[in-house]
Amino acid sequence: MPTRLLPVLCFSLLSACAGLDGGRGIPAPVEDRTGQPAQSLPASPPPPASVPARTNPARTVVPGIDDLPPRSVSPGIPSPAPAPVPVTPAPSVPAMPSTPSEALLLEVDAALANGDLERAAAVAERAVRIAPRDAQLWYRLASIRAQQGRTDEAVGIARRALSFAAPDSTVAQDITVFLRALE
Amino acid sequence: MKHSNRKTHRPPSSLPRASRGFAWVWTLLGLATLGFIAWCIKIDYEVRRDFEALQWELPARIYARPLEIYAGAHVSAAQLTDQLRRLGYRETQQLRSPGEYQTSGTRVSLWTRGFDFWDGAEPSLYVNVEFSGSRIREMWGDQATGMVPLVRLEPAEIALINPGNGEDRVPISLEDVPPDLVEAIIAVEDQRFYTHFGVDPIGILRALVANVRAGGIVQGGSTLTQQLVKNLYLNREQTLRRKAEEALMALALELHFSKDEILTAYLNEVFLGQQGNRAIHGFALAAEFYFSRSLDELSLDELALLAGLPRGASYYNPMRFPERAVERRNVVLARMLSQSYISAPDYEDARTAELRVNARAPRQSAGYPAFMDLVRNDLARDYDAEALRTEGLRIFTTLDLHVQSTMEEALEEAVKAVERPVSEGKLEAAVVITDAVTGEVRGVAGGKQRGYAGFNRALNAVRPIGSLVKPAVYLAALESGQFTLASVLSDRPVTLQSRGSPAWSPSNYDDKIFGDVYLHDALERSMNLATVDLGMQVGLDKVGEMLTRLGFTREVPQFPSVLLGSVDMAPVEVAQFYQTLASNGFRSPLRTVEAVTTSLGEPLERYGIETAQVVDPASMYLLEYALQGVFQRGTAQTASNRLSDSLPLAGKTGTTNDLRDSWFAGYGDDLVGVVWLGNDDNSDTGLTGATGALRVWTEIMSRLDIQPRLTIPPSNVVWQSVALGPVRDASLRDCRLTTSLPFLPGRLPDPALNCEDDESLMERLFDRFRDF
Repeated sequence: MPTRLLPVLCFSLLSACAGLDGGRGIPAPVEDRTGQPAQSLPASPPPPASVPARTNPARTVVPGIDDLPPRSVSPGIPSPAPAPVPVTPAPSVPAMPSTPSEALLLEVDAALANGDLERAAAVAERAVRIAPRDAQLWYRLASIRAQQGRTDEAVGIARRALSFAAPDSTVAQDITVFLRALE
Repeated sequence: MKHSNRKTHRPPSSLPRASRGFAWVWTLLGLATLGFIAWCIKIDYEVRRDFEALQWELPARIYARPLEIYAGAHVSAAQLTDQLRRLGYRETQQLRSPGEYQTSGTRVSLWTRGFDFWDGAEPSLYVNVEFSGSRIREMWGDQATGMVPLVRLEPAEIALINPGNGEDRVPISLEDVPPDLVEAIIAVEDQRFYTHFGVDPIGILRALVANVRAGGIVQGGSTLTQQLVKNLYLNREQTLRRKAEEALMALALELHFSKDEILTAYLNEVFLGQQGNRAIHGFALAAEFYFSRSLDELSLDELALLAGLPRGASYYNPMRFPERAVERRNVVLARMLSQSYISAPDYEDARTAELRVNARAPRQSAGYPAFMDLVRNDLARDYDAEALRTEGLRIFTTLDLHVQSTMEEALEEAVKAVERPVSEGKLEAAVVITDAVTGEVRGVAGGKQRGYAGFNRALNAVRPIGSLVKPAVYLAALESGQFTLASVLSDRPVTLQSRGSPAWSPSNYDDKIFGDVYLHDALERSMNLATVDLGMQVGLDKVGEMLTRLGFTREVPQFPSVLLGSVDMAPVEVAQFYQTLASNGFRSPLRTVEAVTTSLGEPLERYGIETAQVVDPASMYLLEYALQGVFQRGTAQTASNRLSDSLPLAGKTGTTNDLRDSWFAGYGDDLVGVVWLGNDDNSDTGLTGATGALRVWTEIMSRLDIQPRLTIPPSNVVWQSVALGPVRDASLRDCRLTTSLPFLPGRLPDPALNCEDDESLMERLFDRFRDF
């Protein structure tokens, strides 16, 4: 077993020569490209839901037209796209949500309040998947897309909303006005 | 470390006497020392540089769609518990921690783990779910939370896109590692880890003594640091030089980095198992691999088992050699006890604990190859292959495991059941199932066999679609405003001449001739001659344009035979086409990827719902009347018994020349399904769309409990009665038997057929009186 002893013999020498290089680096043994320490998938406690999600700038930030709705398009028509104001009439959203849609609409509001439009859109889409024939939810998604300046998408989604709205209902009228303003 | 070092083993002479003869010895010694020092510096430099930049290549992780639980959801108790088991939840009598569930009667109680999704964090929650049949009736938490509106389970991992070296790991930071695990590792691998300098002379001596006594190697004296260095930077060679290098590097590592940093790297680096060409590294992944649970959910005996694996992950593999693994675990536990990390009762409990590892490794990348092909195509737009293999991206897909596995379970048997002897057992299949509202792909099969990974027919079997094309012909006609559902078409033999191609004389499937027929009837019963009559009136260009609007992206040839489906599509292209029909004329691109995050859950790209109206809703409504008629009165009538709970549904059969391809595409309110059957050598299958693909579609969709179409009629649609028998001459109108059809104002039925107007009412009354 002489090989086991060799390292020990080398030890003192090494200490000396290792010191020649001086200075302690900042080690990053477990790191990904973002430079933040990695962690296990579900192990750590989740951050609060209100933390704004970072969206991909290439897709969501369209310089200059972030401030839709274009109110100037049809003057005289009541303001169509309720910018950060919830589309859903206030009384239908109680303090404690009891349906998935209500719970998710509150999350949409929270994301909008943080200025995180893409997260708001993501949550609205989650609501749409759960209640795919709810005109209000589609309309909500359309108005977020409009706020993001993604007008073509907003139009398509608003038309979809309209196809689910009962004719002559308030929401149908709202969407019609909204569409007229976008087009 | 390729530099050769010059050194001598001859002990330096201690003779003080200066002598010419010894001068060369001193010179040599001096050179050797200099060389050795240079070698040390080099090693030190390299270790520091490499360890600082240490960055694991992490495979991309692909997740299925998470299960959403809420009151009213179309989810059965069996579906929920199936999903929980897949996620590694453990059934218990009493819920004590996340990752457990309990069933009693129609109730399932569970404690979710929580997960960082693209759109925010899903908290870990305790909920009770009460079922009523195949739906969730209500859901509530404990007294503090009360009713819970919505819970999202963590998504199941369905595949990895592996780095070239096949290494897979889930990096974890030290504070997330249970202390029991760290203590177990230290107790069994390196008792003096926190006090030595990278090498452990005491440990080496002890190992030496033990090995000499045993007359062979029974103990290693390597420290964790040495093991780490060996795994990271050295090959398996057992030479003196390599040993020296290992020790020097270990010392260098200890000099520049803290114990915690070294330990963390060890915990993430160490090899702990193998599955095919996938190497399981690090304890966090090993916990998932062997127990389907996260590290912090494991008990002492399970942690001790993992801590025993670095010594020999194959030899002590608990899935293959449970006795060896338990024996090794108990050695670890005994060391923990003797070093006072655990108490005697804890030791006794853990030592006698039953081994409960996964029977076999959880299904991985081989699981859903056909779907993964689509995912790769979608990702290729924004991510290069290198990023996918190394950056640990988390990719959230639209795959619905319930849909996918239900379809796979049904498919092979269903194909076998319809296969004719002429196919000699080689009849193949492809299936695409999408969400009828969003265009998200819920399930794909590229062949009839479960998990089939060869030629992906769903994507690459580009075949003529036969009568599946007809809805585009009829929709173009209805939209033109010149036709109604009650337009009378001529189902009679014709010969068409078009420039540059031979004369074409189409016929009906069984050579029948139906004469004058209603437009809706011609579609429902898939009459070829009537369709050619209609298509030639509408114009081939209009039909081609309609196919493009509905989502077909390649060029449509301008031959009359296109009207009967001599246009080639892959099943996934057909799915896009029918998706637009199912969405009532709104085209949404089919998608498999919803969002991508970094390995830490930070949002990157998201692919949202897009939708554009391409056909007016009223024309769509009229078309759907006929496509529902396919099930009620037409070529899919045979399926209506089996699907009686799901009707009305809409769909269309398709058969190609010489029965080479058997197609069915259909949809309910929730799902769109496309089934193709055929032989790979393009030979006769003996099957029509109705006798082949429709039956397979029916088997799959009834198991999925497809939801009926509840299409709301657009407000301008009116219903009118028309004579049951189509005639072209008003004098032949017979309003004794009528049928009611939807029409648009301004496009009402021909007066020759209309039994709605006052005159005909008067006549009918008059007729009645006359009879008396």
